[in-house]
Amino acid sequence: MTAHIFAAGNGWLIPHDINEVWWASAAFFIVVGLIWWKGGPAIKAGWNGRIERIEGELASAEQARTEAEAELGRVRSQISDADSARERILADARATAENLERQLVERAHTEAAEAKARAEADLASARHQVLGDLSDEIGALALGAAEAVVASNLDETTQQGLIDAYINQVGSAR
Amino acid sequence: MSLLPTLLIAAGEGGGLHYPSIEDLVEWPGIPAWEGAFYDFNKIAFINVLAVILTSMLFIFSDTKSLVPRGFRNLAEMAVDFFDKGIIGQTIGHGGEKYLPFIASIFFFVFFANIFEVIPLFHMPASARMATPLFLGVLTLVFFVAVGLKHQGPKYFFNACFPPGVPKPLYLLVAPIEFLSTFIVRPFSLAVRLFANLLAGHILIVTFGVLSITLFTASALVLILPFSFLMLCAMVGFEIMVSFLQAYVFAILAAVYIGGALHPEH
Repeated sequence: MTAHIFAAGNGWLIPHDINEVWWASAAFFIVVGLIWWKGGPAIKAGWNGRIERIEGELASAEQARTEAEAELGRVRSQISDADSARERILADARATAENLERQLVERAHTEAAEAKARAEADLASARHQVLGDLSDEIGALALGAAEAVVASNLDETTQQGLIDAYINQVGSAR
Repeated sequence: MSLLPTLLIAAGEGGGLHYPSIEDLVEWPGIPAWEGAFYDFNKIAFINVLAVILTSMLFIFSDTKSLVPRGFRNLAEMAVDFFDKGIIGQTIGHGGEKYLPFIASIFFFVFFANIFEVIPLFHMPASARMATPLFLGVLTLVFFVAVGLKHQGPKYFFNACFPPGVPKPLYLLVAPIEFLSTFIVRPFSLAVRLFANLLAGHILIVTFGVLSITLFTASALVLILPFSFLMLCAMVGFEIMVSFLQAYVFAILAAVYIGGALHPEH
């Protein structure tokens, strides 16, 4: 008995002999089953392996990003700390400089006042000295002039009398 | 001992080997309602449309936002990686990446058009009709000529027909051969290779299918039924491999031709 019945040519989709479809479909499912059975684990391993590899790479990248962000935060914090330190150092330096300036100005004023006082004292002393010297000089000159005048006007006896009187005066003063 | 006389004997005993005609193997009528119209649509056209849809789906559904590729996207990425490293990197080389969409589309279209050879209810590769391979061959010709014209200008035709290093008198012989080889034989050989392989596979599967049917019904020969069915299974497995291999061969040759048009010095 023939199990296949031929129609007149092929249909739009189904071949002229439907039995060809059954047999070829059975062969197809057997082959696909065999591939799935024997090659399935390897295919699945390759398939999932790629997904896992990419997931791992993404996780590593995410971790690296997190670490980089933490490092960025740390560096930013350091920069912020450095800014604060700079501000603090600058403020300290400014205060120190102002203090130093004030001290220097005060000291300069003091030294200037002292120098002025010293100079005034020196000046007074010098003036005093000069006046003394001048007085002595004038005295000496006056004395010289007086001697000259007296010498030109006194005789020897009078002179001797004056000298003796002076010596006696000095001697009694002691 | 030949199987055919045995089958004929079996036919005499009530069974019979009724091998379909070549028309029954490859000719498919259009949808009856549309028959005769300019939009007449038969099974081959349907398979071609399905191949286009499947190829498009592969890339449309792989366009997901997720960073981890799953499903279609994993398959598409694996395929693109394979085309990039296995085909374009080996044939076109530098600058070939922009032709990856064409190569990938050709590969998947040819593969899907071929694989319907073994898909239940279809059992017919679109590539076993000359129209599909010929269209793909001409498409490849147009594509690589366009690439050649884009990169070399009109001189492309001269470079293609007059290869350097050939003694001038020999150009009388070489130029027509090169012209035929590049612009006629290339698309023709692409088409015929694909068509012949798929048609041969289709004929073999039908042959072993018919043998299985016949031996199943010829009671005296039922003992050798497993062998013909095993051969049918083997042929189905072989055709799955051929579907992939022919798509790969078509894609790699298209890439070689594009590479030749892109880098004439090679």
